[in-house]
Formats: sequence, structure tokens, C-alpha cells
Amino acid sequence: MPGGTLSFLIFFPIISGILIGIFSENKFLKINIKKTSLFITGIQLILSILIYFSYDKTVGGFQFIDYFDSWIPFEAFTARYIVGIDGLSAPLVLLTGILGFCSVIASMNIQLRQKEYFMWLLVLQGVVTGVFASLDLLLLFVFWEAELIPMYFLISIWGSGRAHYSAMKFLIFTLTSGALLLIGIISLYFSTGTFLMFDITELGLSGIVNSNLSLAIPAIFIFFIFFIGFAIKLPLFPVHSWLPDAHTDAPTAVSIMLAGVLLKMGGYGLLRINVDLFHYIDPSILTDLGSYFAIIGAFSVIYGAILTIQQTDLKRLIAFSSVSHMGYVILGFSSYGAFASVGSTEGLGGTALQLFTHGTITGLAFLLVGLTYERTHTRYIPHLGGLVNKMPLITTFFVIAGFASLGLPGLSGFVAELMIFVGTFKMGSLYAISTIVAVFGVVLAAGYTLWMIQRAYFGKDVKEDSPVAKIFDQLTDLNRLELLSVVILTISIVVVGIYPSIITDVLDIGVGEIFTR
Amino acid sequence: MINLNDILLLSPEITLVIGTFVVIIVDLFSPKKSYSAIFTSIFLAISSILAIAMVSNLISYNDASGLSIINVLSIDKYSLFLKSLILVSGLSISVCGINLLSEELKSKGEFWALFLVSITGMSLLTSVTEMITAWVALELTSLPVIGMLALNQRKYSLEVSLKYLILSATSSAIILMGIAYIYGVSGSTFFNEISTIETSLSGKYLFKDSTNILLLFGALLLVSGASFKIASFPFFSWVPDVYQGAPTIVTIYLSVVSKIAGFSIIIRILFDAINSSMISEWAIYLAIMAAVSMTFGNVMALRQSNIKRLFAYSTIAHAGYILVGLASSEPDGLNSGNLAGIQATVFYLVAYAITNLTAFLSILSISREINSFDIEEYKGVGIRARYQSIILAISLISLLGIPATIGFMGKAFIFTSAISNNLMWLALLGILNSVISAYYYIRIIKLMFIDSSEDQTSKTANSDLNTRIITSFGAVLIIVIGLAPVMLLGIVESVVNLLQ
Repeated sequence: MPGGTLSFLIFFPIISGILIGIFSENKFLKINIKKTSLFITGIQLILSILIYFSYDKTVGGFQFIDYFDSWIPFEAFTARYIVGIDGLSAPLVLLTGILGFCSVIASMNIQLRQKEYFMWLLVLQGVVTGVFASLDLLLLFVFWEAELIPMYFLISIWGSGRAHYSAMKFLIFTLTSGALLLIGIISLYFSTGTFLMFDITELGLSGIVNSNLSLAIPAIFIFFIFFIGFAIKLPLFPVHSWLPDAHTDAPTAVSIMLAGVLLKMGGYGLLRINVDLFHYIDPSILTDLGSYFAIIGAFSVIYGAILTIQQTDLKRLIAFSSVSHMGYVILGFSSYGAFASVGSTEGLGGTALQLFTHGTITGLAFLLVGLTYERTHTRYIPHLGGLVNKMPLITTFFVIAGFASLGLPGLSGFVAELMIFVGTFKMGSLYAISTIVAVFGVVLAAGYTLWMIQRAYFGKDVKEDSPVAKIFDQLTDLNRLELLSVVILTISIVVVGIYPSIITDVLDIGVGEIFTR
Repeated sequence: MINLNDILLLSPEITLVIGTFVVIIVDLFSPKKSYSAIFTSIFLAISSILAIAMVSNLISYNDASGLSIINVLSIDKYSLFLKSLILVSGLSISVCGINLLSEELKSKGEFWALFLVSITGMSLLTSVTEMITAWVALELTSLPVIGMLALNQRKYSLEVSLKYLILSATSSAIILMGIAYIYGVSGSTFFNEISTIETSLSGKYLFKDSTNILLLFGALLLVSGASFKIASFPFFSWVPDVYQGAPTIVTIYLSVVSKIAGFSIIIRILFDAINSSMISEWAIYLAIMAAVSMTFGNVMALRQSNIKRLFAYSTIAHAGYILVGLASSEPDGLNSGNLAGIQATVFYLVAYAITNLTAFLSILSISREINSFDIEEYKGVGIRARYQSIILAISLISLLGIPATIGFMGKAFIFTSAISNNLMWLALLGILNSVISAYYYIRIIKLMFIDSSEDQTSKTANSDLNTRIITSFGAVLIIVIGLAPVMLLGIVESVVNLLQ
């Protein structure tokens, strides 16, 4: 791939989004905003697939690096523009490309203030790609915070229900997470004198193997500052309360981006900074405290699942299931010490895979819920029922998404969860107990997923007093464009389920490199 | 003695004084027209060009030392840089004032003459290196403002003016007290002599090895008195009432220009007059000032319904952020490679001036169209006055400190210097405060763009062209410097290195 591809992937949607916002629909120029956005994200999709498959697995390390030295070139405060992807971030860039395309398809029925909507959606996609590709911590923070403004507008203007409240809640939570991140990044900078991720790694390496880098600010303080910041974004119990609100009230496309990509920023941050960097700063923190994280993770899984069962709103139900699924990420994250004790990295690999698979599975689920809602105008489960007669395709794909979500073998969710369970179980004692507890999360997931599909899509026809009853005869199935987006996501779920190496080969390089630089 | 060369060095101020007389005379002949504002703008423009020419000359020759005028004024890079900032801000205000003021002011000629006098004082204040001159310059900035506050037809103008007068007098008294202490200890009012004398003092006034407690006390009195100018703790109680009651143009003047001048003298006193070995003593006091100002400003701003009052509290909070930078400017911090706080402070000061000027001028323009300063009335303004609202939104995002704006860069530098000076608690508090401030800044954006008002159809005429041009320029600066702070940081680095 030619140099600059990755920067193109970041800035092409941002710039074209802003151009759409300024120039479309003026006196001289009338363009079809929806088709243009579809075209732009189509290019993004193709490029991200290309860049993913041209990642050279035999070489490993950071590739496609774009470098611009003089962003803030002062000796006292040096930050660079530097982007590149390695085994950890490559799948997430691919995921952003896939979901960005699908989210534009999911927005085809937007009528209100189209030009601004697509501007923010495109800017969001570019900015999130930037988060995954940044190799400079300050640059990462810039992208991390810049995502807020598009999200705020998208939820607040085009959302439903208590959209303003949810958008403000999202904003405050994310700003807090960003604030902690900034403190952490500055503390690291103050201690190491650099914002560059591999410089920090180098500093750690230059000591004795696995030496503790002596920091002016206690490493454990910085570790927890980062951890809490990412946990808010992930989200982890007890800082998860923004997620159900934001998801429920956001428009479909934004839910897809939020669940599919934005939550992954938290997981990616944990892997990239709390695991990768802290392996070279102070590996003992995560080894010592790993079992506590395992307990928190397992608790989050079960707690999220129990909350999910009680939901009666389709979207809210899937939102809460995200809390539960992100618990697995923390569980896998806790198995960091496995490399030192039993020499395996399955847990971390599973975590990274879980980020990818959860993105596609939940993206598909939110897409289908959104498509259902567009037709029935309600998401209240007791008002639905028997939809399979009118929407066989939506139902079929929803069943696939549901099975993938509860971890049916042959679909991608299974692989990731299995890897996490195996990796964490190996650590013994508290880890094993937490794993056993978390496995019950799968049982609960089967419960709420199947029960939800049963009530909403199969089962008896809608009740007489339900608002859906009046329009039941006019309900339609997927159109061609919608089918395309659903099929893209389903393919990525099935392919990864049957042939996981397509992702894990790259992920293993990324995870392995944490320990073998 | 003053010679011709000194007159050249003082040319920006001399231009302003000439301008004052011209404005008064012009007003005699045509009191109804807006010639006075035009002449004010012309003279301010000449003055700013002179100042900018001198500072760019000094920076390009990398001349570290300043030129001193009988030891009372120092014309150096630092003073000329802040002078340019003050003059350009004043120019922006007066240009926007040409069309905007017609019904708000009673007598325009006097108003603009007082405006020029006050700016002259601020311009002098940046270069003073002597205590009594500093006090005279401070009074020269404050007294005309009392007149400017009273010269309008609002209901509360006299009350506001009196409030400003009383607190201004109190702060002046405190400054004089501080000067007296410093003179009593050091026997001099010249900054350079004070900084050399204190180190050779005998043991009787000494506190903790080399620290002179009386000198420290005097300096802190001076800083407290000057906190009236920068609208921070302890003298901030006048800010909300005066900002709300004053004509908007005076509010802008007080919140931007006056603040730059106040900080310029505080920085001068702390770094030029007081020996740098005392930084660790006064840093704590500044840290407390910063913490109280930030928290008070942000918490109080949450529940305001008048946009000028909200911005009053917001400027108090921002004074706090700037003080964080000053509090963490120990030159030999733990890690010598780190950004010095003073650099971050001056950078943030510039960022604040650009952002707040853009925001306030947009508010002035928008509020003229909707004829109200009530925040609830901003509903749907994003549709009626689209262009100006977008600019206001950009500046609000910059005040909040979201990346890709100058405000973010400023905050990043400030908090970096705080952490590298072992002020982690202050950095944490400051960042927490930024999060709180999101609520009220975003609320304005939400009202403008997201909530729709009932009468969306009533399209109003385009806003004032002058305001449009100046605020557009400000918005461009906010984003360009926010993305690439290299240029400004380089200038700031060069400007402040003579202070250390």
C-alpha cells in the first residue's frame, strides 16, 4: 500500500464530511448527500479491507507508519503526528471501516437536517480510526476527545426519547474519562519525557528485563487513572450508567457506531496502555491485582446479564447485553499474568478478538432492531410478536446475531469467549472461580437472547391492543441496500466463527509483541 | 533624561494620547455621528502597527535585553508582545463598536476618549519596572472605566459604576500597602534594585534561610490587589454584577483587555522584582487563588440565566486556569526538560484573549438581533443567525478545551506544567473543573442548534459586517493555532525567556 494510506483513511471522511456540511445544498451545487456519503464510506470499507489484508504478518510490528515530526516540536513539549497499525489495532481499523459503511446504510431514512447528520457521521468515523491508529499519546487523546462533539450532536438532534438528557450524560461521562486520560498521559510524559508509545517501551527495555521504570509519579497511580478512564468508556460496572441511556435514545446508525466502535476504544486503550505500555513500566501491578480485575469482570458479566433479562425495550436490552459482554474484556484483561506464569496469551488474544466480534455482532443486532423499529414504530417487546410472518429475513438474521451473541460454536462470539475462558482459567484459584462464574453469563445470555427473539419475532401474533396490530399488514422486509449491510456484517460473523485465523493470526502477532519486543 | 529615542520607544502610547485629544475634538463638531469610534479605531490601528513592528523586530533579532527608559519603563519583547495583544484586542472592540453602539451610549465622544485613556494605561502597565509608576498606570486603567460604566442609559449603570469604583479603590489601597511593605524592606521602588537588595539582607527579616517574609507579604498584597484586574480570588465579587450591568462593549473590554494587563503586571512583579528563589513560597498562594477561582467560577456558572453573567463566572474560572500556570512556574522543577509554567501561562493568556474576544463579540452581535441577554432566548438562534452562532459555538468549544482548538492546547500546556511542578492536586482539580464547565458551555450550543424556537420563520438581517470579519478571523485563529501551535509557542518561548 502506498504511504499515506492510513492518514487518508483518517482524514478523508473528516474532510469530506466537513465539505458536505459547508458546500452541499447551496445555490450552485446540489449533490445527493446520501449517495455521496455511501460512496465515501464505501471507499473507506474497501481501503480498510485492503490495508488489513496487506498487513505483513511475517514482519509484524507497526506498519503503514505516517510520520510528521513537527506538530509540536519543542524540546519542552514534543508531540508528533504519527500513525501506524500493528496486530492489535489492524482488526479494529477494519471493524471501523465495516461499521462505518453499515451505519450510513442504516441512515438512509434520515430526513431531518441531512447535511449536518452525514457531516457528523463521517467526521466520527475518521476520528475513531484516528484513535486506533495513533502512536503518539497526545495525538490519541486529541482524537479521543474530538469524537465527543459529533456524538453529542448525533444523539441530541436525531435521537428519540430523552435524547438531550442522554446526550449530556454521555458527554459528561466521556469528558470525565478523557480528563483522567489526559492526567495519565501528562503524568507519563512528565515521568518519561515522551508521548511516543514506542519510546516508552524502549525506555522500559533499556533497563533490565522487566525492570520497573522509575517514575516520578507512582506507576500504580497512573495505572489506575488510565484504568478508570478506559473503564468508563468500556463501560464497566459501576460507571456504566451512561450506556443504556445513550444507546436507547441514539438513532440506529449512532447506536451501531457507539456499540460497535466507540466502546472498543476503551478495550483498545486497556490493551494498548494498561497492558502493552505498563508491561514495560511496571508489570507487577497487573500481575498482582489481576485476580481482582477477574472478579470485577465476572461480576460485570453477571450483573449486566441480570439487568438485561429484565428489559422490555429491544434496544435497551441489547445495550445492557453490551455491559455484560464487555465484562469478558476485563476478565481476559486480567489474565495478563498468564504469560509469566504459564506462558500463554490466549486470554489477551481472546480479549482483542472479543472487541472485534462484539463490534460486528452488536452492530448487526442494533442494525436489525433499528430496521424493525422503522417499520413497527415501537421497540416495546410486549407490543411485538409474530413478526417472522412479515419479516422473515430480519428474523433470520436476528437469530444469527442472537446465536453469535450467546456464543454458539461456528459463530465468532464463541471463539473469543472460549479463548478468554481458557486463558483466564489456566491462572488457577481466584481466576478460575471468576471464570466459572462468568461462564454462567453465557447461560444467562442464551436466556435473554432466545427469550427476546421468541417474544418479539416468533410466538403469537401481536395483541389486539398493540399499536403494531393496525399496521401489521403493511410491514415489509429488508430492501436491497439494507440486505447488503446486514449480509456484510453476517459474513464477518460467520467467517470469523468458522475460520478464526483470519483475525487471530494478526491479533496473535500484536499480543505476542507485547511480551517479546 | 528622555531623549528622542525614548519617544520613539513610547510611540504606541503617544499615538493613543494624541488619539484621545483628536476624538474629543472630533466629537465637538459632529456629536451625532459615529466618527469618534472610527477615529479611535484608526489611532488604535496605528498604535498596534507600531507595537507589532517593534516586537517582530526584537524577536527576529533575538534581542534578549530590553531598552530601559530612566529605569521606570522597560521596552522589551515581553512588554511589546502583551502590548500588541492589548492594542489589537482594543482595536477589535472599537471596530465592532462603530456600528453597534448607537443606542447604548449617551455620549460617544467621551466614551471613546476614556476608552483610549484606559488602553494607554494598560499599554504602559505592560512595561513598568517601578512600583509607583505601576500604581499610576493601574489607576490610569481603572478610573476611565468608572466613567465608561456610567455613560449609558441603562437602569443600573450608576450602581454598577459605584460598585466598580469602591472595589477598585480598595484594591488600589491594598496595592499601595504592598508597595509600602516592599519599599520598607528593600528601600527601593525599582524592580531591578529590589531583586538584588533582598539577597543581601541581614538575618532579622529572614524566614527559612533566604526568604524574606516581609517582602513576600508585600508581594502577595500586590498580587491580591491586582487580582481585581484579572477578576480572580480574592477580588472577584464585583465581576458578575458589573459584567451584567455594564454596556456589553465595556464587558468585553473588562473581560479581555483588562485581564491581559492585570496578568502582565503580576508576572512582572513576581518574576522581575521578587527574587526567583522565593517562587516556592508564593506559588502556594497562587495555587490557592487558582483553585478557589476555578471552582467558584465554574460552579456558579452552572445555574446562570443571563449570558453576560454566565460569562462573568466563566472568566473567573479562566483566570483560575491561568493562575495554575503561574503557580507552577518554578524554573528548576523536577524535570528540567519540561515546559515552564510561565510559557504555558502566556500561551493560555493569548488563547484566552482570542477565544473570549470571539465569543463575546459574537454574543454582542447575536444579542442585538434577538434583543436579549437571556440564555433561554438563544433557542433556535443557530437557524436565525447561523454564521455568528457557528463562530460562537467554535469559541465555546475552545473555552471548554476540546482538541483541535487553541483552548485545548492552552489547557494541555497549563496542566502539563502543573504536573511537572508537583502540583498534581491542582491539575486534577483543574481538569475536573473543565468537565464541570462542559455543562454550561454545551447548554448554550444545545439551545442554539438543537432546541427549536417558535418563530423560526422570522429571519433577521445579516449581522454587523465588522463583527463578522473580526470574529471569523478569531475563529480561524482558534482552529489553526489549535491544530498547529508551533508558531505561537515559538513566539511565546522567545518572549518569556528574558523573564527567567
